[in-house]
Amino acid sequence: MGDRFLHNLDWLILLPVLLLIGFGLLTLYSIGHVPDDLGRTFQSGESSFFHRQVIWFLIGIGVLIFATIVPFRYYESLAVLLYLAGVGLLIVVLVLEPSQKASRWIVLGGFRFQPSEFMKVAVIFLLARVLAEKRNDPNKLRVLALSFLIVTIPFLLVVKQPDLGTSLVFPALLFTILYWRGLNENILVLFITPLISAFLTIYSERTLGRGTYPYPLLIFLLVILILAYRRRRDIVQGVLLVGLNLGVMLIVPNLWNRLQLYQQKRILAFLRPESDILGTGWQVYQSKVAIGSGGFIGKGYLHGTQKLLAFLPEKHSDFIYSVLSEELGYIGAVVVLLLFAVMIVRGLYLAINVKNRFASIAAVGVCAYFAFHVIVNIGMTIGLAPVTGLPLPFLSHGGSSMVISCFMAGTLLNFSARFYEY
Amino acid sequence: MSGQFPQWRLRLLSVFAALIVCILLYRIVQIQITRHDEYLQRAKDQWHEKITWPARRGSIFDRNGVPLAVTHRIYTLGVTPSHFLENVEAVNYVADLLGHSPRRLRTTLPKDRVYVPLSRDLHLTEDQVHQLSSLHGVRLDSNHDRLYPFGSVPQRLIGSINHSGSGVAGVELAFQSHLAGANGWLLANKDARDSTFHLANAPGRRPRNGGDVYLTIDSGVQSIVDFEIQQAVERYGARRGVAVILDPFTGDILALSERYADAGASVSNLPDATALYSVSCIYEPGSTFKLVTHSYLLEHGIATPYSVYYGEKGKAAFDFGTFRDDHPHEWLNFKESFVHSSNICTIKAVCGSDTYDFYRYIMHFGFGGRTGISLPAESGGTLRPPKEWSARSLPSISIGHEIGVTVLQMAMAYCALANGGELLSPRIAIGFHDGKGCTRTELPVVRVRRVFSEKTAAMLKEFCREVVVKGTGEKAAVDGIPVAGKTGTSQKAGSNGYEPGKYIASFIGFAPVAKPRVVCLVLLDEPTYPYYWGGESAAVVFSHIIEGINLSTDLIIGEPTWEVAVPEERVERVERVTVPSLLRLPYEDAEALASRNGFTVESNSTRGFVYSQTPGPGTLSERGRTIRLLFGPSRAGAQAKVRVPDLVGLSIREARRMLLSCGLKSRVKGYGIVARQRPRAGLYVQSASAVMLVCNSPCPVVQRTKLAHRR
Repeated sequence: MGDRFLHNLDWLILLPVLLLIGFGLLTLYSIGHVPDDLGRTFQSGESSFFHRQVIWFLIGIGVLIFATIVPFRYYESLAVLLYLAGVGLLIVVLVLEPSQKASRWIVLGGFRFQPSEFMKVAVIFLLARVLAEKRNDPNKLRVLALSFLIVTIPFLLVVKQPDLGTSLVFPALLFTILYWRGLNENILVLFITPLISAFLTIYSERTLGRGTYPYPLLIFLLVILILAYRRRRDIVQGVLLVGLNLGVMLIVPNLWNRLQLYQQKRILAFLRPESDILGTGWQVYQSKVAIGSGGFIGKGYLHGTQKLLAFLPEKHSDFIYSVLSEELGYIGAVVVLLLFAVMIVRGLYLAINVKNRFASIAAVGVCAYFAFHVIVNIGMTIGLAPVTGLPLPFLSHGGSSMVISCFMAGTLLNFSARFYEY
Repeated sequence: MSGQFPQWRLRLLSVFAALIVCILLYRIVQIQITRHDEYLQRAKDQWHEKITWPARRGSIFDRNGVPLAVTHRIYTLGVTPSHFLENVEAVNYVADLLGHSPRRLRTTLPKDRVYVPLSRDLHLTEDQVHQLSSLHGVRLDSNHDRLYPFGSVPQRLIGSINHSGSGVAGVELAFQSHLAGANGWLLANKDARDSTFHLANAPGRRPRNGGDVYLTIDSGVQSIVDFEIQQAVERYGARRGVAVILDPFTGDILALSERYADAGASVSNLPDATALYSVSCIYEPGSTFKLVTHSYLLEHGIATPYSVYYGEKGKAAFDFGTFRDDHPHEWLNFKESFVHSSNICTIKAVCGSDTYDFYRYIMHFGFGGRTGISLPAESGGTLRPPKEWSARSLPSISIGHEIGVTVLQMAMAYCALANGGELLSPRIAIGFHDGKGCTRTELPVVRVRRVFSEKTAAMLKEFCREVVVKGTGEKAAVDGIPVAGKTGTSQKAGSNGYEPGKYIASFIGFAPVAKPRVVCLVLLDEPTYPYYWGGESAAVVFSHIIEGINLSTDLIIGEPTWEVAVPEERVERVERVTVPSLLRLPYEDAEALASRNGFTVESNSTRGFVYSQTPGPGTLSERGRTIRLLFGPSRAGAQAKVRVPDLVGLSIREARRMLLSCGLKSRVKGYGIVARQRPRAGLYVQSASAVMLVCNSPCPVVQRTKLAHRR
């Protein structure tokens, strides 16, 4: 198989992955590096991140090769088992360490492993397996309910940890995969518009307090009415759409006002970090200062300042993109973004071309996984998205993220090498 | 190729994703390129910190270099409990340093606080500072503390500083600009936890340390005065005792002491709790003010020492009111009226004087205006202009009522008397040294004006001497030193006129009489009954102070013992005569003049002229004493020829003295150093003939520079 296998392998997926890992290692090295004039008084103690990441990189490459070589049919057949194992691990995490503030890891022989990361793979495979069958039309209530069940179990378990950021990945995967499988967009609209309504209502509650009219909410209401009008033939759907949204708009303020002040604040800080500059907003502010002070060409590799002296929090994991942008500037930031874009576009291209239905759906799931992580993580560093704690794939320090990302990239390579198989 | 799924869905998804990526890119452009400068500035702001590098405040010394106020480095020790408690060694060290038990420290520290100050105003050694600053979680802030080691000098004179280190009173305020120096700064890095990291070659500016001030205070004298005043306040039951010692020729304040019977009174009775009584408060001087009146009368020829006034037996009713004396007197001459402090005689003498003239004369002494001492909150006293005077004002003021003066003004008036008539400005500081110890600035002695002639001064000094010898101030006499002075007693004025039973007793004097080295003013506020006359209390304190100064310092150099101040009746009645000048007389004439004055002469020769005599001309000596004469080396008396000495290069004074000893006269042309003489040296000329001296200015340097200039 050798020659043909390598020929079919999509190098435009492999190459960006390797380059991104390279960028991540370079940035981690830079974080551990202390300039000479500070050396005497300042002990960073952060060079160990680089060394550990090198080990994870080697393991990740192994996993990538493994995931590429194993025929993807095994994934399909093992999906249920993987899923059950993942759920089991999540329960174990909750049971084992209930005392800690957030129990997300399982410690295995010195290595800490995050089952929620593993769970994402399992959910993608299981959804792909269920929906790959032609009879399982997602517009059928039974299929829809099954899909929701598959996602809701891990979603709730992760929320319980609690890790809201990670848990949001699951709905994102679900809707993307369902859409690709052919879910009627009317149903999608039914699910998505109430969420937007809720968000806009909370937002409007704030603006009303300031004495201005909640224009975004009014415009959105108009949009919904137009959508309902276009669905006037299906009375049930139209009424449902308007009813759901109006219901949300009426109930949410009521619920909102019943919340304690600190709870309101926490939700607002999640949605708009800059409203809480001393808490979550501090990280975003520092991240923006780091990125902004980098400028077009950056401060130069190893010459960043904000990574030092504890200004930038979580700089080696969640905010690694800020360090990179500070040192390598706008050019570096765009290059990283483009590498991800190339990888994801190739993944979607693969989803169209691959002949196997399971592979196609799984490829879309993997692409959604990467896209969601990249957008949320980078959006977080530039103040567009809430601070969730989602890592940047391939770059952020952390074993689980690295191994799972490599595994996902490996599956994409696997599909590309066997695109002709039914 | 996947026919199962419609491709447009994926395209829509891609468009959606691309849209999000575009939003991200736009945002990054906004942050990184549009607002780059702003964020760069914010980054610098939060990671640079400008630390003040405090300047050390200068010290204050007395005239001999004894420190009166010095700046010392102290430390504030604080910890961050979460970091600090991890380190057992640090806890033990700090606990040991502060004298707590480590366990107590560990249990009592609130662990959720970021910073807990443990101790302020710590005095630490270099070693301890080094050790502490190397501990994690321990923060050491250094600060400057002001110490006042010499407790005797009144805190109000030295003053104090506030928490930010600038002077708020006294010398600390008066010389603030000089003592303060200028703070420096240092650029350091700080991290998000607000701990600071010093860089190796950080930009900064070193502080300029403050300069030192040398006061005129002599702490030796100060302790004597302090002790005596404290004793006096207790002994006489006074509310307050004040004493000032000055050098009459420079106006230097050698000591200034203010003591209070109770601490509460010191605060309540002053316009400002930090003010000095002697500078900021006014009182009615009473009889001590007669110095001004009597000098006025003498200067303007209104009275002579021999004018005689009738004392009205202690009570006189004038048309402007009734005045009394403490002791009834009958006929007193002008001098006796001063010596016995007769108000009636003084009023009679001053009556009919021009009020404006008298007013101007008082102003001349500096009353009604500030003395110009460089201390804050000085009062100028109260002196109303004559157009507001009533008929009673002139006599009242002449005996020291209806006028408010400060202790310092009064003391300066007596300084003028002691130094022969020059009013000076009081001086509190001799000079400054700058912070590096390189430059030294001296403050000049300020002569304000001549207030009366030396003749008047000499007469009044004698009056003052008499006061101590046989007048109201007999108790001021000191063994071994001739002193002079004047007593003063005045009633304190309240809101409804004079308050009965409340007096201010004062004595101002100087010692020794011939060449005064110190002027001393003693003031007691509200002494109890038998002591409220200045002669009974203040004069005694004066005597003790002068005696103490004489015994323990060399400020007053012992004068010839023929003027021992002892009560008059114990002195043998020996008639003293002024020795006449016998200089330049031939033997016969000299002997004749001496015997006419009741002296005998003794000489080495009988020829030539007298060029030296002992005792000197003008000195007082007992009648019948022998005057030793020295005759010049002339060979043949008045008719002999004399050899002209070589005078070139001598000053005029030396040349004249030499010619005098040879029996020659001199004629001088020009000034300075003798350049030529005619007749020349070595010639023999007629005795008593004149020698012409042609002199040059002794400053050839000036001419040389002029020449150089011309060239």
